[in-house]
Amino acid sequence: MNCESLRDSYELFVFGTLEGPEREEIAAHLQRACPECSAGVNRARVLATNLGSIAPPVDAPGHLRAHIMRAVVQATPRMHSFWESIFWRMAFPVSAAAALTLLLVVFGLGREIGSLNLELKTLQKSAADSRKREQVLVSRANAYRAALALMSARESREVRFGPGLKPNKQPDGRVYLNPKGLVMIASNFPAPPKGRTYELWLLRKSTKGAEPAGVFDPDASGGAMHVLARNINVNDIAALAVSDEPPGGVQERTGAIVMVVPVTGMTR
Amino acid sequence: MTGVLLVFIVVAFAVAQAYGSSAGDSQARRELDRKEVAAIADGDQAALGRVYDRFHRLVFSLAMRVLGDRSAAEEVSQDVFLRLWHRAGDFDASRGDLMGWLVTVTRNRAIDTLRSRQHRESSAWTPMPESLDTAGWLATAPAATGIEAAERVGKMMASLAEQQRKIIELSYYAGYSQSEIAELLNLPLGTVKTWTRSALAALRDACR
Repeated sequence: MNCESLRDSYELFVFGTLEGPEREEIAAHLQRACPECSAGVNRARVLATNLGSIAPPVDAPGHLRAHIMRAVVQATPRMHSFWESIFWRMAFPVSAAAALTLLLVVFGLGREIGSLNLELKTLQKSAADSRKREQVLVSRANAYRAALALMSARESREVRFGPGLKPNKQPDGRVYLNPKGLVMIASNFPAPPKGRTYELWLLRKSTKGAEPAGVFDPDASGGAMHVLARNINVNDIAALAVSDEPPGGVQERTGAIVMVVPVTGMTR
Repeated sequence: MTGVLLVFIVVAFAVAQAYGSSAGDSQARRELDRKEVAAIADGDQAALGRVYDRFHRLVFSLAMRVLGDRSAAEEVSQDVFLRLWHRAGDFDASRGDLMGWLVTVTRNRAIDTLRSRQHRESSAWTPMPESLDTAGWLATAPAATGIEAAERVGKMMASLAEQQRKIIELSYYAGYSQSEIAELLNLPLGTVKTWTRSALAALRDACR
């Protein structure tokens, strides 16, 4: 179609209501920048704008402006300032680095605390061992002191016993008897049976009975020292005996007698 | 007839109040439009507010004229100004004018709403493109928009025969094709075409 035949259709084309082949024809003319059709359509657009502007005036509701501005605010992504942008860009890596650092610190501290706990336990055990050793030493020192006091006391009496009493590796040694207690120093004591200890007995003249006088264990070389620090009636003791008993000793003898030392012929 | 003429005079007065009163203002108005749309493209909400203040009556009135429903006209108006907010970056002042764009978009949206409401589907409805330079294939911006041209068009509309005016109104404000109008008015299609042609010729002359 030529431009002449399309002339009356420009307005309906602009209105969007043109039917038939004219619509495609005008579009094609415009596509190839046809000057006559472009001018015609442009004039039709002016008419369309003027028709739109002569609609009977009606006031828009007062709230419409606020609605639109609110919708605009909601539809607009918030613009960040330069520093805000930097902050949000760095937020994740910085947070991740901080979290990782914190994790490492916590892990390191955990290990350090674990190590310190282990060290503390070792030290506590060492201190307990030291205390125990100290108690043993103190106890032994007290025993030696008591033994020395008893051995050097004027009223103490000495009873010797030894290989002469029984053959073959029988313990030998001395017993110092004193009204305030007794001391036994011996050697060649065999180790007591497993799970047993030695107990000293005072055999009474008056009652014919045996009175427990404490337990002791010989050392690895067979040496033994036992101190009984309580008052005893020396004159009523007929003999001393040693038997093996359960740990801690018993009130009535149960084990085998290892040796018997008659208290006769006391010296000093 | 006198009543219709009076209505168009009142309308013309309102348009004059809203869009400037003389052709000499046209250039200044276009420059203002260019600045305002550029500001809107930069995210200036106050500029959108100023454009709303200048054109909301035009937009709402046209939407009301098409739809006859305040609630629907509000929705269309909101849609038009939001579209301006989002598409302002496309505006080329050398190729189109803001008022023409607002009228085109408002009419298209309103007729779309009307057709959807009426369940009217027709391949004849092909609204104008809505890009802010109006259309890439259009040569220059229209010069004959504004109060004087609108007054002349308004007077010419008022002076048309009732059936002719009805046909133009159905075509422009309701988006009916000529065959749809013929069916709606129970007129022969040839008659509708003839009356349309003569009415448009008169209106075209009024725009010059």
